[in-house]
Amino acid sequence: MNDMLAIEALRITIAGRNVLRDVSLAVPQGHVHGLVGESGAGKTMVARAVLGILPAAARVISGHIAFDGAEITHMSERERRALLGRGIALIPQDPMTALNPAFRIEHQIVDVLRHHFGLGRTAARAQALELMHQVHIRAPERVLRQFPHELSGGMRQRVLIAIAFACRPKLIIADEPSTALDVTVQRQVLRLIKHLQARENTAVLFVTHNLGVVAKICDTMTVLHAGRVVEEGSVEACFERPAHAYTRALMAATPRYDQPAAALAPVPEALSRDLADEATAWDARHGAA
Amino acid sequence: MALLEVQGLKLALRGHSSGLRFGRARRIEILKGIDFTLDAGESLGIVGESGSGKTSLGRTIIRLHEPSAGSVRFADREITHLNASALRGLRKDMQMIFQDPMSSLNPRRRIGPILAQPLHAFDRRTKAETVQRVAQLLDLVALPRSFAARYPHELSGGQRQRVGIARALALEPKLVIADEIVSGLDVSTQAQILALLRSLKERLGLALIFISHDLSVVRVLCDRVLVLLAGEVVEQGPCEEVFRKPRHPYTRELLEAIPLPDVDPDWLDAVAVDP
Repeated sequence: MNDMLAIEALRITIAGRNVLRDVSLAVPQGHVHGLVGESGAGKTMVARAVLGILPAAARVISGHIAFDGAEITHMSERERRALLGRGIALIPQDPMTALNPAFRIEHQIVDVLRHHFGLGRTAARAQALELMHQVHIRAPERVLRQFPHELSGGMRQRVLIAIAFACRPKLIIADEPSTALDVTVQRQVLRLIKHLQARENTAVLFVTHNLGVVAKICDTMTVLHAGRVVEEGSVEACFERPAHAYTRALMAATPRYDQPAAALAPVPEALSRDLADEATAWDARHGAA
Repeated sequence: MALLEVQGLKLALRGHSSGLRFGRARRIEILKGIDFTLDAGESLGIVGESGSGKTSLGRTIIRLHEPSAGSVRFADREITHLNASALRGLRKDMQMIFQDPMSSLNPRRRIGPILAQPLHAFDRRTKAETVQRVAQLLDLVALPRSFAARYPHELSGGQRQRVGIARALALEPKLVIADEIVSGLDVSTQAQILALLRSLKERLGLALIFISHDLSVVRVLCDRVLVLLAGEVVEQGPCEEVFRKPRHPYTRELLEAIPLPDVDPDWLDAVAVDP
């Protein structure tokens, strides 16, 4: 199968400290791959490395990122601009800050379409309306005339999903796209992403801290801890037969409404210590940059 | 006897008018007649989606909002319309823990003075007594005593939330209202804070009102749960019962929308793409 995204032994440092320690993962065409971890695990760093928007202090020490078979690890600003949107698109976490509060929705979608396809105003407008239908927004004409603050969180997220799918990209990076939403709205947004992804056969790298969301939407997954891959495989394998103690501990620490309180177990301190030691040992072997 | 009795509680706040309008501002009904009781040492989860009124309910009980109708009785005393000075005495027995400890802890004060502030507000203590009580409070929430000298920004999110809990417990309240206090935390930190709250509740015999959008978290911590929808209670009862056999369709919808960490390819297909 054709890997849309292939990351190989990616090592990134910030101010001399390792933040990604030889991370490898692959997302085949048409697959949804979950990237799971707690804060500081490096999942956002992986996403930013793929998009070429690493923080200024970050350095790629070694490793490769390939998109659709082509190396993009050190692409130039020019190459990145050509790639983003059309080849790789992003569904960001916070729909309030991702949309420009000063412009109407129509303006923000039309901009994307004109930039990437060189469409004229009228054609772009018609296309924008079509996209609103695709993401099942009711009264799309009205929504196009509105400003971001006039829309609910779920509605804003639908607009961003429309923008992400606008150029029919081959790969979508979804960065916690449903985290800020109420559960009922979250379920609808996940359903919509899955629906469009399946129809377009898009590869999706789905970044989240929520194991439940991964179990429901992903085909395969990678668990990160302190910039290291601790577990990877199909979601069935990872959830039903987790190989690593950390994956098991994360699951045991996730509250479930269908289980009594006593079932919840915090991550054992000994395990946290072991994991920290392993990261230190890794640094000692590879040297701080 | 119930520690807290809430009857027919209503709250109306002045709404934002859209555009320039003259005359009286529209009043929006946030809470439309809430009834419940809470016993000493009992824990109640208040759940609902955004806009359901769960935060307003917590704030009205503790009288940060003035209710527009109904009554709140606390420890057999009518507190619905107490004036500011009478409320001050009450604050000792009812405390609140806020969602975001970064914005509820003064960034320019060290943890020691932050924890000592409620003590100074109510009792005259010698400096040594205060220092000792601050140390006790840090012990209580399992933070090293040396943290008294640190600033909030030097702490992790979980540690800051422990400070928030310690501050709420400083005056040995009978009731603590916690509003979304674990929502910003990682799973492993969240599990630690939940375990801490459970043990504190038992050791100190605290009554707890735990406001959350996350029903799974409520199941871990609470004896009973109350489900709010648009300012009204649609269902309340023991967690065990409500979560196993929800009676109201809205409760059922909420529970089904929670993605449990089990692989289930049909879960997403069960809802329509069209909202």
